Amino acid sequence: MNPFPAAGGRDLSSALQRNFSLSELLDVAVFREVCDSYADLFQIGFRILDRAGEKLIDTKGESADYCAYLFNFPAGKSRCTAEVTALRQMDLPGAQPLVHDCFTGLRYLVMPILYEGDLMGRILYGPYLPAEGRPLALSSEAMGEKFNPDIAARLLLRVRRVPQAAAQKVVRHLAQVIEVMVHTGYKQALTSRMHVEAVSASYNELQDKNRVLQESFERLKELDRLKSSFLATVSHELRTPLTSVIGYSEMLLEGLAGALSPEQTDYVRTIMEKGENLLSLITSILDFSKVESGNLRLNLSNCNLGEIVRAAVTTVLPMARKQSVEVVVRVGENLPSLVADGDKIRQVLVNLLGNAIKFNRKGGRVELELVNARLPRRQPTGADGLPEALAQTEEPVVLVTVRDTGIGIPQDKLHRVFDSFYQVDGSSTREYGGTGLGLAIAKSFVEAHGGTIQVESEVGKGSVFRFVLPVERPTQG
Amino acid sequence: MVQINLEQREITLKIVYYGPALSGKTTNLQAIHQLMDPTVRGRLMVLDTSDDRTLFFDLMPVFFRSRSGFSVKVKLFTAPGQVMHSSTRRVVLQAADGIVFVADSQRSMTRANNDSWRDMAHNLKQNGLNVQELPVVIQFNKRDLPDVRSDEEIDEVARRGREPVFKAVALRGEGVMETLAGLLRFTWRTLDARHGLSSKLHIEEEEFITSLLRLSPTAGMADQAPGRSAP
Repeated sequence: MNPFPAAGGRDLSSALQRNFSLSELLDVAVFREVCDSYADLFQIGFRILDRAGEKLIDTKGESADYCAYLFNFPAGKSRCTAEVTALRQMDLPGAQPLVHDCFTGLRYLVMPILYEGDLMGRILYGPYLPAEGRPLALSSEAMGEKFNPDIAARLLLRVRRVPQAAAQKVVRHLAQVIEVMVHTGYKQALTSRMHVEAVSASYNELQDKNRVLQESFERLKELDRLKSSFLATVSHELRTPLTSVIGYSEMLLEGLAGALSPEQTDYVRTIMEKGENLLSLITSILDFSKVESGNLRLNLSNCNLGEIVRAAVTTVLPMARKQSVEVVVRVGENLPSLVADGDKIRQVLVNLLGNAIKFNRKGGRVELELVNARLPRRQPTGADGLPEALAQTEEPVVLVTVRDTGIGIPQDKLHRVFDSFYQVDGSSTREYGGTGLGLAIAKSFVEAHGGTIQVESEVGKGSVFRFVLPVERPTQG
Repeated sequence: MVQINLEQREITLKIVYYGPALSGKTTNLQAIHQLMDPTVRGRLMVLDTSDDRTLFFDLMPVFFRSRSGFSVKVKLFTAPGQVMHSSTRRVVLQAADGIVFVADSQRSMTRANNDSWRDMAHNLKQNGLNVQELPVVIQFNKRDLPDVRSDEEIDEVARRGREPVFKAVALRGEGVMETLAGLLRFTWRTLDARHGLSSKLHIEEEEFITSLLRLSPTAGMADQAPGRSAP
């Protein structure tokens, strides 16, 4: 960077290096009051100019009338103006007041206002009548025909006479007061400047961090989507040949390729069973990866809940029989027909019932219950929402409960059971099998219908899963 | 970034005291304020929190008028040491012409010193400055405390490093002026080489140093020569 900026160019390289002008550092209104009091006290007027020579303060002293009288005359006016210009431009090398006598014999003191060695402005103190000197008698020749020396003399009497040392002391004090005020103003200006700079630096920092976070979030989301779509493809590719394996095994069992020996029948049945297990596993994974990749679509139609329940129970019944688990179904009266994706609802029921049977004890019991219910719901309130009086609503729902008498779920694990691939007991995977996807899928299917799912459980006593399906499809906001 | 205004005949330099929290940066400035001739220094402006730790920065200007008629001003800043004030530190570091790194001599503070240095280098970089190109001196402060790194150790690291090293007890004013003198000399030489200050402004190094480091007659210190000079 070039440290020699063009004249007038502002260097923004450091926020704290800026030079302030006198009017920026002083509260001019308050400062004016201070100056007025000062002038009243000593009966001597003064002016304060900033570095550029602009007038900041102009107080009237006892000389005002005399000067105003002289100013009426063209000669007086031009000489007075010349005097003030001289005062404005006077070179002030030191820190001491300089004396300047004007054409009337009255006196000014010119005091530099210094801050940190810089000239911030100047005090033009006076005019006053030096006690040691005497005023010059002005003549009408010099001032003009209408000039009346008697009036001038009378007005001159009112001008304060001050010993030189006293005037110097007063002006030095005034300069000190100003210096303190400038210091305070400077401190305040720097503080507020610093506040602004620090806040804007923090803001930029946060913006940068946000951008980085947002980018990595987008990247993760993309990776996740790729993962799910890969999973979906792979599951599909796995399922197709598996269907053939199962199909041909079935054909063998049916004797389409000739009679099988009992041993062969046994082997082929095992192949078919394991193939079907594998198929259902792959189906779960496929469902789940669809949910994950955001490809879940509901095929909505009017569904008869009774039929859906019957289909689901038929699916799990062989498994229940094998485990000697009793399945009890209670369907309430007057269940409405739902606009829903029947296959998905059936899948939810199969998953919940399947778990209830799988994690049950021998001779245990599973209850499935469907009833009408009303769910209190609070709608959003506030500026964009409803008024408080209307926010509380009740929603008609179908409440589905699946209750079992199985091993139960410990309290500290309850909140995780809906996580994908989660199984309460790592070792139970081996004992009970499954992918750990059933509940995650159930949850996403229920939520896709605008419903909610919950679980309660007691270890050793069993678990209760409840989900609700809204009867009216939620209005899209 | 030295500011030179040929029209107004002004030159302003910015020096920053940097270092870990509580290493004595403000104490350095307070000592300088006390030791210096009041005619060459301004008021010490302290912007601190209620617990006496620096919130924003401290600022004290030192200045003189050169024989060639230039108003020369050096603004001494301290950066807040606490970790939380990172953005403030960066703002204070903006356009610095030279840095006094105030390290804590206590062995237990070695890590804090290192972290602060890295933080400084990072913040300088954010401001478009390079710690390798800036005049930096290191002051090992708090020499009077127990369990500090020994003089021999410090002399040894000083010999090996690029940065001039000074020892100080800022609370007692010891080594404070020597540190400042060392940095001012280093800074002047760097700027002179870069911008030809001597020839453009007609100010010689000795005038610059001795005019700025005028001691207060009442400070009770011998009129000592500025300490070790920079390389």
